[in-house]
Amino acid sequence: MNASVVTVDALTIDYIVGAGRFRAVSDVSLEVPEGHVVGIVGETGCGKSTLAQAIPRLLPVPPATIGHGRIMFGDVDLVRVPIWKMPAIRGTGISMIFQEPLNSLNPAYRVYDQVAEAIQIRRVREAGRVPVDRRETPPFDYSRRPQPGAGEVLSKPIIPSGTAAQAARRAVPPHPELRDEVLDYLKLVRINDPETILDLYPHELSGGMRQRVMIAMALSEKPKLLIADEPTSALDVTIQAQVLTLMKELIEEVHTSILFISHDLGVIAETADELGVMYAGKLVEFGPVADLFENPRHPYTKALLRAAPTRYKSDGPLDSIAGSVPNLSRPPPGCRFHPRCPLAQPICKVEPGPSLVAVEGVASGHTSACFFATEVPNLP
Amino acid sequence: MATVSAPGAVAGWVGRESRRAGRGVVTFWRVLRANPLTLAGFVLVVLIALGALLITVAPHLLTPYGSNAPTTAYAQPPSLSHPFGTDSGGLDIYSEVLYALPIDLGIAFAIAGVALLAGGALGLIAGFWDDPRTAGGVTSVIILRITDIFLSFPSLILALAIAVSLGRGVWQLIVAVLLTWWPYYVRLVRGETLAVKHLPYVTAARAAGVTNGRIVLRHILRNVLEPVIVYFTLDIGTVLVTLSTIGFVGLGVDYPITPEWGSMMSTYQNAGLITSYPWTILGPGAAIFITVLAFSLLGDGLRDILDPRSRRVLAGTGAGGASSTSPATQQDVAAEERPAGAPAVVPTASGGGGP
Amino acid sequence: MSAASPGPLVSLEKLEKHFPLTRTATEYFGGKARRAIHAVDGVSLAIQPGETVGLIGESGSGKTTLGWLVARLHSPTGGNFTFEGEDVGSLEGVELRHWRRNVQVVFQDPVGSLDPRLKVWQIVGEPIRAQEQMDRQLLRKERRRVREENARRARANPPEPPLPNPSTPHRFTRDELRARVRAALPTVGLPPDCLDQYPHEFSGGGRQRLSLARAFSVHPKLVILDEPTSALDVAVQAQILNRLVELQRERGVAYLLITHNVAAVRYVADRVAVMYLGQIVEIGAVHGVLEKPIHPYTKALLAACPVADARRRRTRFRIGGDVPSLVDPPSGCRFAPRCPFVIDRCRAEDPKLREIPGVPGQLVACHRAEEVKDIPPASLLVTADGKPATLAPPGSAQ
Repeated sequence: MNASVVTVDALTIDYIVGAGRFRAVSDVSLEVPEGHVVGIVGETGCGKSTLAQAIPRLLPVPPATIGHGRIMFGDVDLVRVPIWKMPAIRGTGISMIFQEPLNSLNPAYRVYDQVAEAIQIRRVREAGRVPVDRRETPPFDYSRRPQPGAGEVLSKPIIPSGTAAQAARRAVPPHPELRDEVLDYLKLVRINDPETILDLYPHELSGGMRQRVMIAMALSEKPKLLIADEPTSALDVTIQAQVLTLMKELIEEVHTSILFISHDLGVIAETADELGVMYAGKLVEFGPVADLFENPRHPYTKALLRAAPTRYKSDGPLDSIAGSVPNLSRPPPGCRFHPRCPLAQPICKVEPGPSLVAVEGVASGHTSACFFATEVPNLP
Repeated sequence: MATVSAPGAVAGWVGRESRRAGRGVVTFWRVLRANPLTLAGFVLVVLIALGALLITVAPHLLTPYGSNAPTTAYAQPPSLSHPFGTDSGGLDIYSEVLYALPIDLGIAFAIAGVALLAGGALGLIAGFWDDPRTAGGVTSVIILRITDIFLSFPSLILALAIAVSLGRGVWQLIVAVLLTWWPYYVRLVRGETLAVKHLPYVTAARAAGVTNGRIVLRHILRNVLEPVIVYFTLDIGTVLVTLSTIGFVGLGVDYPITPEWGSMMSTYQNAGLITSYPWTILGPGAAIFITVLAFSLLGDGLRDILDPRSRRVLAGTGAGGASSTSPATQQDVAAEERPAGAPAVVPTASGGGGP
Repeated sequence: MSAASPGPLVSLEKLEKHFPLTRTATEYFGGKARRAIHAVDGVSLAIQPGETVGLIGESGSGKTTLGWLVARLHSPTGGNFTFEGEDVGSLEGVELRHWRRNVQVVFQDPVGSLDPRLKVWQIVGEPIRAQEQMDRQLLRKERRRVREENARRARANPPEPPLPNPSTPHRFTRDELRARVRAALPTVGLPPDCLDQYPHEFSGGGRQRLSLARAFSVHPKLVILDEPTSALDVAVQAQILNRLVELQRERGVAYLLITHNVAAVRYVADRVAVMYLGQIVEIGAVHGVLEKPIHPYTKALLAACPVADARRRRTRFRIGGDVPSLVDPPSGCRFAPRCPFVIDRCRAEDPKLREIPGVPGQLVACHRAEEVKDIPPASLLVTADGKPATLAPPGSAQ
């Protein structure tokens, strides 16, 4: 197995709100191997986004506190890095794509400025002026690859027709070398007409285009780890399929490591190599996607897979998971899933669920945090 | 419970304990206890109100001297018998400050209150019935343009000008400030109304067949009220400062016939007492400062107390270990989960989403 | 209640909703805008009593606007809208609000659509109270009419017997209302003792159940479900969908389910209409449309839906382009700029909704429906090395 880019080790994150205390992430251990796409799936409030934001230390720290655990990025423990040094790591070693591309792009700057800024940040790092990471060569180099014939997914943006506003717009300053690089990245994300796009402001782009620009920005920093937090959830179905197609192609071209967060098993299926399932702040199952879908070994995963409505009214009621997600300020004792679990035994109510252990009869690397993992296939 | 057949339908939909973080007085007290600054503001306001009441009904409990009743001590510095000293006319400044308290508060509440009612009503009308090309829309435009005209004058200067033309006196002062004060409430209430008006639950009420009048009273007014009350509380302080300013430039009431803090300071300053008897200015100055501070602290705290969603968080779990704050706080965690706010959830005319 | 009326519950004919874009002062005061957003552009649809019509489409397809039109939250700018045979497109005032008891709406946003300052019993009881108020207003009108009529009759020669005074409708006391809400809560799976709680004390699913209870409180004939499960997690979504189907079975109510979620439509709907840019491009029974879609856009939509299947990792989606603007949409087929099967005729001529030979009951607006009808949606996905398994456009501009 490849070396891992980021290793999360027994990470615990609490939120302190008023006088309450909520364990949003408890004892999560996770590895993202180099060049792999690791998906994290779970319901609202399961802690997946908290985890995603904790890795680049983007969590707002007064409500949130990182209790214990380590986040090893290369040989640096990000939990111990002083917060003022984090920007150097964030934009360069770790990039992030957010859910809502309109809010994540600065409305006051043109596409060119935003991508160029990302490139310049990377150059600062490459010049060796960043305290933490001094590696000279990035682990991959894709900017000089031949651009793929991406005719299938090309998308023509809706650009306002020639108006006075457009004429009055300042042209992009002639900064030929930076400009070429920006164009390269816009082409990389299959933007049809990058010369025009350069001059536009985010609000003039459609949602799919904005998310492409976000991806271009994230990639232009040549990150070792790309964290995609629900990158397609705000998009329409056909646009989501386009962006996912783009991401799938980029995964093959770029070989960066990706931590892909989503609430949608279908979206995860499109992109991830390995999948972690989170429930109430805990990682309950982890394994290769295909194997995990075929042979889920945690009752929650199984229930989640079955809950996706795929039948007609005439076929009888849908399977749903009884009850609701527990309140994180007072999680149930023992295994957190036991109040909703069809396999629950007395031990589940007392003993906290085991940490992820390998299960017999499934692919290697497939682990589950259930005492009765071997009985899961017998569930209806 | 008969038709519950979906698995686990009932359990877990609401917080396990229906015991909530208290109601009314209890909640109010809990929030106060958890927020010392708000508590301080609240205590100060209560003391001030008490003082105003006592000095009106039973002045001898607070001071042995009557209003505008000179003592034989002339220009004495502060001492035990005259905490704020006396002025050159022999008036006990402490008593005068106290006698001014109900007058100042009364004027401030009258101004802010009438401005709130009048401006608020206009703002509500202008905000709710604003569809263009209807009678309501035209009314709305007229209200707003008149408001704009008033807002385009610097309010203090306008108030001073009106005060000059009306002459001195309590009623003249109230009218002068009030005329410059109401437009802010129109703006505030209209803005809040517009924001609330397009919230999904107002549409939901419309879809249920609720009449416009009822929507305004039940949904809009209730949700607009909170920021308005907060603004009103903070505004009392601002009105006081404005009153004092007008009094200080000599356009307020006629001190010492009517005691009022700004006019007191004005009188002493004009008489040149500040340099020779600096304590004369201390009493009314401190009174203004403390009153304004008290209302500001209380106003900031009210913002949190009035919102049912933040109540339980603020009140915390209290002393009891058993948490009663479950779902609300869970909500907060959930909110953290999605940095960009939940998926686009506002069902406006999505078809008309626009160009 | 449901008199054996043979006609449809709701019937829309060429319904239109254009939102004018006012730009210049003359346009503003003239009340006539040159440009408009064609949110709903000539939609014809019928909803039978007790059936569920699913309306799928992406944002900008006009599906929500259509739903709001049927709920009369918008007024149509063109076309006919009848409810049980009576025209409601131009209802106003008391009559409109009185009519609203027939049609209730469940909104997408379970947080925003419940007033945070009201308690459960007030929220759920609100439609009851509102309709009670409408009853009283109508009664006042009726009383006045009777009084005038009786005055006329008294003056008449020979005097006619006076009409009886209309009886006062029942007025709910607070306790009666609470009792009614208490009885209604279990039907949506909420405990009856949460009457005095605030909406923020419920989880997302619980809040959506409150919305359901509220919508059903006045026994409507049609409930418009506007993205009822979009904001919910999968497990909760399944619970709500089950509950919806159960409620329909118990009450015989008709649903108009508006969503972008094909899975929800598959489970709840009897018939499906697919909308694109303000028009219905395909409509038919749910099995037909979802299993054998004919219109290229329906195929694209189905192909794009993410499914928990690891094999999709190797596929690529072939439909490019964005949904074009609704402002003055192009002539011809509106899907033409993105359609893989486009021919010249598509760009020139507006396709009409029509039945295809061999596929009864399924209407499609596509010039090449006969040619493309057997192409499976999966063919719009290609493999990475990919052969696009599609119909080659016969010799025309591509």
